[in-house]
Amino acid sequence: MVGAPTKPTPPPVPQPPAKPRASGPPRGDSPGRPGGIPALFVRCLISLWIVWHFSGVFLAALSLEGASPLVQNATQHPKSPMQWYLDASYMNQGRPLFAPIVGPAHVIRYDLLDATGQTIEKGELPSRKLHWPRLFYHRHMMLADQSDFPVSQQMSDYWQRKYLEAFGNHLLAINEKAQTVRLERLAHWPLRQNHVLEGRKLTDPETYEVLIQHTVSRAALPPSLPPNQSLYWQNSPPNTATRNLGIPR
Amino acid sequence: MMAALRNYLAESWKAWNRFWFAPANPATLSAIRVLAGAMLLYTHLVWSLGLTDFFGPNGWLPQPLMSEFRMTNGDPDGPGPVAGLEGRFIWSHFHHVDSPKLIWTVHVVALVVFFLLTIGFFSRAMAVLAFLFAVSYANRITPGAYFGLDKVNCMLALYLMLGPCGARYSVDRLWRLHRGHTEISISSMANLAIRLIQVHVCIIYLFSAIVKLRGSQWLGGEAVWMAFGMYESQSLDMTWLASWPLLLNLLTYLTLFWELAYCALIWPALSRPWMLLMAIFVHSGVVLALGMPTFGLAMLIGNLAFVSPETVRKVFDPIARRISLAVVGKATGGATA
Repeated sequence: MVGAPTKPTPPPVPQPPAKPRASGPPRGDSPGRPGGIPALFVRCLISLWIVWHFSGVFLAALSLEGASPLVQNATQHPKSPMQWYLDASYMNQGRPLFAPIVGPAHVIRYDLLDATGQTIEKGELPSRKLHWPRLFYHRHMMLADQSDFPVSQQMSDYWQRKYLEAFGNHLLAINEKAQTVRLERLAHWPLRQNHVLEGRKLTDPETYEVLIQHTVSRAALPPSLPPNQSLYWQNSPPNTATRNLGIPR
Repeated sequence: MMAALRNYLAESWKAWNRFWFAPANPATLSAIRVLAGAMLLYTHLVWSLGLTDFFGPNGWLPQPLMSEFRMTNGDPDGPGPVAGLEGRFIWSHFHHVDSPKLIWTVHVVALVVFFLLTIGFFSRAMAVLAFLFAVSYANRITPGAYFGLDKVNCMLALYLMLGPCGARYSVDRLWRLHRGHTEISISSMANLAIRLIQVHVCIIYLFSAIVKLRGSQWLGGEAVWMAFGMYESQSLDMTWLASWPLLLNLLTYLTLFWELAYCALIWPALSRPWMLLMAIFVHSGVVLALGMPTFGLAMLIGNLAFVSPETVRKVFDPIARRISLAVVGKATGGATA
């Protein structure tokens, strides 16, 4: 207290080191209740959240192609609070985590050409030689796999070209000598068992199918990319969200 | 009639409370924190090899392309309700960061957060930050370079921040003991976090099986071979199995049945060890043969939620004792640990 008479401070008495309690009731993470059991009101709130949360997880998992309007409205309607919640928590893929359909793998092959049209570098995504460790390889494998969205054949071509163009731009950006990049996206089909027994290799040329080819030239590139990526988010075109976000894998 | 209904509701509420809020030993949650933290750290450490290639403005996945894809959900001319961007909440700090220096700075901060989560330093706060970072990275590369690992990482980080994930096997615990505080021996929130992981893992397997049943490859018993027969996903040559078609069929159906039955048979004490053994078998196959060690391990970390704290302590306590002996000069992972 201000102005209160002060007493001389006694010399500090050495205290024995505090020891953890050896006995007594088990301690929880919040004092007052054994094991920190939340109050009834808090438990009710948490219970409501659990129901909401797992409803979202269930509905997101259900929102495959051909999902009912109920599921679509709940998880994909732009005004749905459920969609907002699923987006925010990254539980928004209406797709399974495991690859349900074991389809072909995909490969992107590219040739970098100089001004005279000579090939100065060849490469592919993914590449076992270049992309290590395995997780890094897998990320490149996903680039090749997810550069498509099979809404329809027309849309498939549209998105494959868009992605190949982006890949081409990136390759030109990191290879200053290259003037042109030729890219192709291939499907690599799994070999049948009888073919393996006949001695064919998994990399048999016949198992590759060219899906699309695209050429990107430095001369055709836009002068420069906007300096701020966020501009694209602030001035984006309207959303026509009707389907899922991603490609299953 | 009303009394019976009231009684039923009261019993249901009791059972609900027992399931979600009964205090539990936080050892399992803490072990999940260590492993999930390490997985998050590794996942994001690997991004360092191509940080600006994947997250930079001139990278593989430029923002305009990603933005167009998301705004149209893959169909620029498709039908559907028109709405503005405000309808979606796909957020990422990369939407606001362009300079490579800044991208790297934030990346290093994220790596520090994942490391601190792994060692359990300010565990709850780090779990919140780790979740935000994990979602932020994943949103930037979806769709384009994401896969199941990102989903499982975010799921585990989300639930870790709800419970006392630093109660054991952490710097937090050593610090608590050093200051003479008692440790958290049981916790209601630890149980809640573990239950959330358990239910979520069940949903993952259930829907994985349901979707597999829609295709002909799984019902036809070919799926496992098709996975082994793909060069890009192969990390171990399993083509010798081509001579064993019935075994391949069996492996396919075993996987399918296990995923389908998991959500029911993981709960009874009698069948739980078998379900967990199958999880180890299936995910080890993914780890060894299909070139996705990170994803397989992440799913096994999720499965750890079904392992009792006593079992977890038998494995983790001796390791924790040795580490604490080496770091602070005294063992704190003993009987009271």
